[in-house]
Amino acid sequence: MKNNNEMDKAISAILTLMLIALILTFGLSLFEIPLPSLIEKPPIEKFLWSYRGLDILIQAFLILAAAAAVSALFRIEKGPGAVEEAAIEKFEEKEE
Amino acid sequence: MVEVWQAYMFCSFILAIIGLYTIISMRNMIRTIIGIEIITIAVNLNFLALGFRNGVVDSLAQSIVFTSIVIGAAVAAVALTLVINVYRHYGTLDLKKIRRLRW
Amino acid sequence: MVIPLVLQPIVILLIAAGLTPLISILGEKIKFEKLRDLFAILAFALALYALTLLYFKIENYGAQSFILDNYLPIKGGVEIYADFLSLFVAFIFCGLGFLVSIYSVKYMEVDTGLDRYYTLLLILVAGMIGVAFSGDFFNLYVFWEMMCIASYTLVSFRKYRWEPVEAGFKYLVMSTLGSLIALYGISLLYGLTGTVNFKMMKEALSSTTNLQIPFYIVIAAIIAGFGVTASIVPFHSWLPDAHPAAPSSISAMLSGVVIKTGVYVLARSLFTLFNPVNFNYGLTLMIFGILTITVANFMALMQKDIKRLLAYSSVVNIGYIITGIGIGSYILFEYYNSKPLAALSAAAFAITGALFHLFNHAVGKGMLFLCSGCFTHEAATRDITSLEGIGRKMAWTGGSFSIGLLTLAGVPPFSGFWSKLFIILAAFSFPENNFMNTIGIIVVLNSIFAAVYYLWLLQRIMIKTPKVKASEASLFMVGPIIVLAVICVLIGLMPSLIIVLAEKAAKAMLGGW
Repeated sequence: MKNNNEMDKAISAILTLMLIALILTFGLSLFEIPLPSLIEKPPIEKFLWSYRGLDILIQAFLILAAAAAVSALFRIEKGPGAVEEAAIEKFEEKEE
Repeated sequence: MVEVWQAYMFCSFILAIIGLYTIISMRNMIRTIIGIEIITIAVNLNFLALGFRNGVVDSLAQSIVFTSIVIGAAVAAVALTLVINVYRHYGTLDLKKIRRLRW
Repeated sequence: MVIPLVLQPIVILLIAAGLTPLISILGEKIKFEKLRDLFAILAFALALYALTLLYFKIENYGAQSFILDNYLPIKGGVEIYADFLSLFVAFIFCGLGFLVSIYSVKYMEVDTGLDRYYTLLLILVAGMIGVAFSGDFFNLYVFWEMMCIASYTLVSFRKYRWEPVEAGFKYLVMSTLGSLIALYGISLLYGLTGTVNFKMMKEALSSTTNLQIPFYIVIAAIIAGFGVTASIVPFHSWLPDAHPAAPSSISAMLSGVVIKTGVYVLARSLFTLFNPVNFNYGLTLMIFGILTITVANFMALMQKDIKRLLAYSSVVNIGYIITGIGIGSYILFEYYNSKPLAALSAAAFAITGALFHLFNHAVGKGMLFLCSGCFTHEAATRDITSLEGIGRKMAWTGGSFSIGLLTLAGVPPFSGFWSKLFIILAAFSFPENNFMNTIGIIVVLNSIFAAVYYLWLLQRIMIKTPKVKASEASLFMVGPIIVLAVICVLIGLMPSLIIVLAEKAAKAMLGGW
């Protein structure tokens, strides 16, 4: 158990160092992006409903999907329903 | 000289790494969901940082961030419902004990 | 006001999804509970009809595009764009949704909350068709998240058991992380070009040629982000837990079409935005592809659960499709400057093979999951040792199960043989390139290796003596399975029916350049 903990810590330390090296090599070039000049657009209160109107309509159905999802996951069941046993060995509680 | 958008992009990067760490240290399922929301915030900040011109953020970037906030809220709602259902089955919120599915 | 034809499939499915709870209440009042099932089947049939009309319109008039009320994309408007590639995958999505909704009439009978099930199924297919038809990268992300939210819930729909809920949570965390990495890539693209429309981004990116590292960071973010849902190997570990735990009709939808959406977005965004002649992402896709095939083949041999074995075989077939797309772009990178015509025709051949394999795998794997749903519905277990020989008692289901296994194993008179042959021939199309020859040999060896566990499963299900009492399932469940089996045999004897469509789609994908 203790060896597992120390090995876990060693592996995560090595991976963190590799990640930092990777980020420093390639990430610094992200700060030198030449930003292109943008076209003049209407202010946000008119832009959102006119130019991005399709996005807003689709978001309404996305919120419908989230509402149906929460409603389906909190429904009241009366019995076991359909039974399909998985082929996994029976898990004993608190095996460690 | 560090420009404004570079500073915000660097902050969004730090936030993304904090969010990733929160997801990976699997101590509590609610922490995992908070980690997902922190990464959403980091990506939204990146959009706003890259749309900054002459003291005003571009309208396209603002509309994208509005929509992204709504999507993040919907995903968090579904995720929290699943957490409640997992708690009703296992009795614990610790992710390291919820490992019945192996091979 | 008349809705333009490009929008009609999405609008029909979304309005049907909104009306389903009302229809369900109406059905309870008049004591005909199955009204909501018929309503969903009718909505899918109408959407298929609209897609057929759209096919004829695109063939005569070119690719269709829709903009709301002249809000131009150059100033930030949303564009809906449909060409042959979008239509090819949209047909597969809607067709499999139609057959699954017919199957669900009998399969989900004992479950409660079915009005929400049909609402979520309609929103799932509407989101997938929206992903196929979007011409704007952020609009694609909104449709993608709509599909993903429906998919997380449908996996954990039977929430009274522990397995779907745990698998659903793990799927949610990994898939949301992937979508957020892809959104980070989209934000970097917005920073580089100032717009999110595909055509505007293509023009802006092709004119700046000296920035290499941010482009590669964006390619890496897109491959990693959409690769989580497309189940490429380092990111695939949600799939063997989520696909067995879902109800079998939803397993067929997940394995058949949801993971293909990830492959479609990968192919569309990489080929449209980054010219394959200048950027070498074909090498990455090929290496990920053969890693996927090899690792998943080994894992599939050790499974004792029928649906988990089929889930690993889904990962293998996605590996074939990714390898095919990778071969296409690698050929363009290496050989376009020296031999342009030969490189273009070989790349079109490879991508035609990959798209044809997408169709074959959707049909074959959908049929296999629906058949295994029939088996588990009768026998109440998923263990292969308990299900031995059940195919002899259920004649129609067992026969279709064998046709499905032989199709995916690549046995000649069925359709899977042709698509694998195309991918392998495309790998050997330039014999002087040793790297592609190695890739081709590895694909052939894995194909033979996969036939081992397909034939082993065939032997266990069909040939051994039956241990369990079972009888044939009802017509609603067997009907879609027989339709899919007939499609397998028909396309196997006359593959040119689909090859023509796949070739038009491949030319549309490469046609921008």
